[in-house]
Amino acid sequence: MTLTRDSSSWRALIVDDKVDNLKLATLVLESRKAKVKAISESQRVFEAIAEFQPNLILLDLAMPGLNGWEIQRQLRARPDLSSVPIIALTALSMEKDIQKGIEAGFDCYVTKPYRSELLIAQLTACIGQFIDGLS
Amino acid sequence: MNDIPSRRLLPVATLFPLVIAWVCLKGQQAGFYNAEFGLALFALANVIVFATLIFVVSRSLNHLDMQRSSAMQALQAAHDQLDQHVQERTLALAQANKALENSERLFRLLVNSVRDYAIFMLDTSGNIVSWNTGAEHLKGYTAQEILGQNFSRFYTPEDRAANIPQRLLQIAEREGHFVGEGWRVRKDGSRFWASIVLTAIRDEQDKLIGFSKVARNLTERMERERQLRFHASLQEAATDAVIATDMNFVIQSWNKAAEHMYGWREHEVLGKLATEILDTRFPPELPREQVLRSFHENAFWSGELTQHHKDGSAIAVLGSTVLLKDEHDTPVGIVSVNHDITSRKQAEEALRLSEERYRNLSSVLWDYACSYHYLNGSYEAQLEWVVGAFEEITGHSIEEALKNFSLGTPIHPNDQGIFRQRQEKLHSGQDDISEFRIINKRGEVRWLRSYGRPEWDATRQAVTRVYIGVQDITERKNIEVELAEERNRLRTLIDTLPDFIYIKDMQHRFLLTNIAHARARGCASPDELIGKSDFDFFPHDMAERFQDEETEIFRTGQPLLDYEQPSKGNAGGFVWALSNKVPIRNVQGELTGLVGITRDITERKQQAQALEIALKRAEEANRLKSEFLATMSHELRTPLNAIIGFSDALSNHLAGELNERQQEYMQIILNNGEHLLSIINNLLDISKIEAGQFELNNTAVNIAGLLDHVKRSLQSLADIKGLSLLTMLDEDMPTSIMGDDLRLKQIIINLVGNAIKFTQTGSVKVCIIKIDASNWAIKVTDTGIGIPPEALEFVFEQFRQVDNSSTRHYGGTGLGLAIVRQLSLLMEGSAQVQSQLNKGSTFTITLPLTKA
Repeated sequence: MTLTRDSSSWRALIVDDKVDNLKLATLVLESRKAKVKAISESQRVFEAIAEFQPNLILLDLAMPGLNGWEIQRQLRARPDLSSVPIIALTALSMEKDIQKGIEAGFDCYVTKPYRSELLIAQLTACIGQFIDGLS
Repeated sequence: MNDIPSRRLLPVATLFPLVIAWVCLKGQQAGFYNAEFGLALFALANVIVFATLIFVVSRSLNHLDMQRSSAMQALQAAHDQLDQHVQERTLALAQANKALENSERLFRLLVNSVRDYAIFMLDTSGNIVSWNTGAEHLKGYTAQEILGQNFSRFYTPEDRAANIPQRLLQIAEREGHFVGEGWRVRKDGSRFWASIVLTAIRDEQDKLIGFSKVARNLTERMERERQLRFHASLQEAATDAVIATDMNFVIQSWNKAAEHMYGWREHEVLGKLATEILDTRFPPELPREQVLRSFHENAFWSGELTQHHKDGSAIAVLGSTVLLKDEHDTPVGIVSVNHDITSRKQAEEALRLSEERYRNLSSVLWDYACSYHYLNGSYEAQLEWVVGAFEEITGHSIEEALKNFSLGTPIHPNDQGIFRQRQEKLHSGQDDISEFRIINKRGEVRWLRSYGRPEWDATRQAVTRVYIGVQDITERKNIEVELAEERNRLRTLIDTLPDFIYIKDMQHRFLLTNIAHARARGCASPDELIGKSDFDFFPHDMAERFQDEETEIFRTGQPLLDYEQPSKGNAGGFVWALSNKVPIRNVQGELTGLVGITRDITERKQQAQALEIALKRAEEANRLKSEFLATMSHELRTPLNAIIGFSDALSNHLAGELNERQQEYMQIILNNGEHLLSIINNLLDISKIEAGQFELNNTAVNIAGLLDHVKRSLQSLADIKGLSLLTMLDEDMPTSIMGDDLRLKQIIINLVGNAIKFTQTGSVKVCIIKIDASNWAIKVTDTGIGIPPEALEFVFEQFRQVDNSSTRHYGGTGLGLAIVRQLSLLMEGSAQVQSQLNKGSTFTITLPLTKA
């Protein structure tokens, strides 16, 4: 399904080691009709991508084992995922973290905690930019 | 012809014809002539011979007759005379006997009374048999004493030893008498020069019966003769030329000195004109005529003139000329005594030159020399001679000083001891060199260096005089003192410095160093290092390293600056040394060595290392703190995410409808979650600012946009409380300035949020004002509760609120204003507050203005 600004077109893969956060993000995105797959074991991300075929990936950054930075680095190297925006959804809200995230090539950097409307608005804006950037 | 030959001729005459005949015959036979001529010759010859014979005989006969008659007359006369003579003789004999008696009496009287002549008789063996008064007088013996004694006692022992007396007797006996001179001895042993006549006396039978001896004392005469000879030789030996001339200046005598002086021998000049020989010239101021007139008037002239040597050279002469007169006062000659004063003239000239030289010398000398004469062997001394700058140095005139100057210039009080020692040394005959000060007549203090040399009297019993050479060394001394003080200051300076200071020669030996260095090298004083090198103090390889670097300095002439290297410390331990070594050149620009300053920087090095470690630790701590903050931020946000997120989601009915109470409570959770989040954000901001990790962006900021954003953000909050939120933008303000958009918003939102919080009614006004070309301000004015004056000073401090209850009443972390102030300071601005209780407050943030 093609990714649009309309959240019902989103197939979002969410990776976060904190199950509570996974649940919240799932709740917010699903409330907007998005298809969501949430995984808390980061090393399973590639498997999940292959299985779920997301058109949007939200990564927590600070995770044990394979962290969000590493995952993003690997995913960005994959041509088959070049049309999938990868978004940081993290509690790392220091300016230098944000800077680092932008530099690393995250398509959007959203800090926790977030309010549902704000998250959707940010994601919508980000995805809009991403789609504009692709076309 | 007398009668005797005539008588003898007669018999011989008979033989004449026979002789003539034989001669004529012989002549005829020889053929000289014929017989006739021979016969004629024979006859003629006979006639001549016989005629001559007859003539001679006749003359002889006449003569004999005359003689006979005169003899007869003489015989008669003689006979008469004889008779008369006999008579006279008879008379005379009688008279003679009488006279003889008288004569002998007189003679004896005479002999006895003669005082000047010693007359005495000796027997044949020399014993004295008579003795006169003269002898007594001359020889000192009385007649009684001497009669019977041998005359040899009058002779000197030398003569007696040579048997002279007996030999004299023998001579007198043989010759009849002996005349001579010689030394004789008186009774008292004294000697006199005697002339003697020793005569042998014989009786009628010519038998020696004794001797007479006449002696006379010739000592005086001899003395006179000696004097005469002396005078004669004196004239000859006189150093002055003595020339005698007649009245016409014709030379009569010319002594040895004249020969020597003029070069002419006496025989060359006798009879010649003295004026021509000597070419006498008088000085120009004294014409010859005047001299002659004066000479004739006074019979004497004396003066200086010029004469000439035989070789033509001029001789300066002091001449004295006397006119000689005979007993009738008639001038008979002229005697000149001339003294050669050429050398004196030369000496005078030399003296004049010497004096002139002395005067000139004195005028150019800076120093002076003098001599003092000790008075009566005391220490008191009188100046007797000075040359040089005496007046300049002592202030006394030389004349004044020579009259009365007994080292009278006061010696400086501090140098009295030195001066006294010097006086004693000189007085005891030792040379002395001293330096002391005087206070001269002008009151100036002068440093003198005085060389003294004493002079002994002839017997070397006492020092009678000292010669002194004085140098005025005031200037040098002043410089020396200045230099010494300067040196002392520098010495103190370098000895006070904790750095090692040293000067080395080209052979790397220490010429000078300071105490700090000496101590570091284990020496008690810097002197112990002099002449030594690094090899005496350092391990060989280290000393070699130092030497190599110095050799490089000498080679290149370039200094070695701020050079850090390991070295050996005080106790042999390792130290770090910081060295500066600079080559030194002499005035000719040649390298002579180097000056070095070495500092033990071990401590500094250690401090630097410690600092480095501390810095690393601080950096590490900072990094850890940053990590901690980041972690804390993350760890706090993560649960807040669930709290805020779910409460928000539930409030928004994402998980189904809530009833009113549930909705209210969910809102409470959400609000508190938000509040907690803002506390965390503020805490992180403050922490970052304090950690110096807060970095400002500097981008173009649109002021109108800024105000708009603030208004949009907070309008709803103001609306809730029924407050009007006003914004005002100064029209002079540039539309765009350089700054950090986010943080400017944070400042304004903090201030406005605060104002809304503490204002119940009225308005909150935000003004942007351009103060001047380089400053602008944000003013936030409210009509709120205001701040009590006592709280104004700490409203910007962290965790302070006007009262503790206000937190509960108004909420907030108490960090908002602290962050505002910190951000203002970061932006190189300032934050002020003015407030009236219950009327409102105005916060003013002044910031530097840079147009975008």
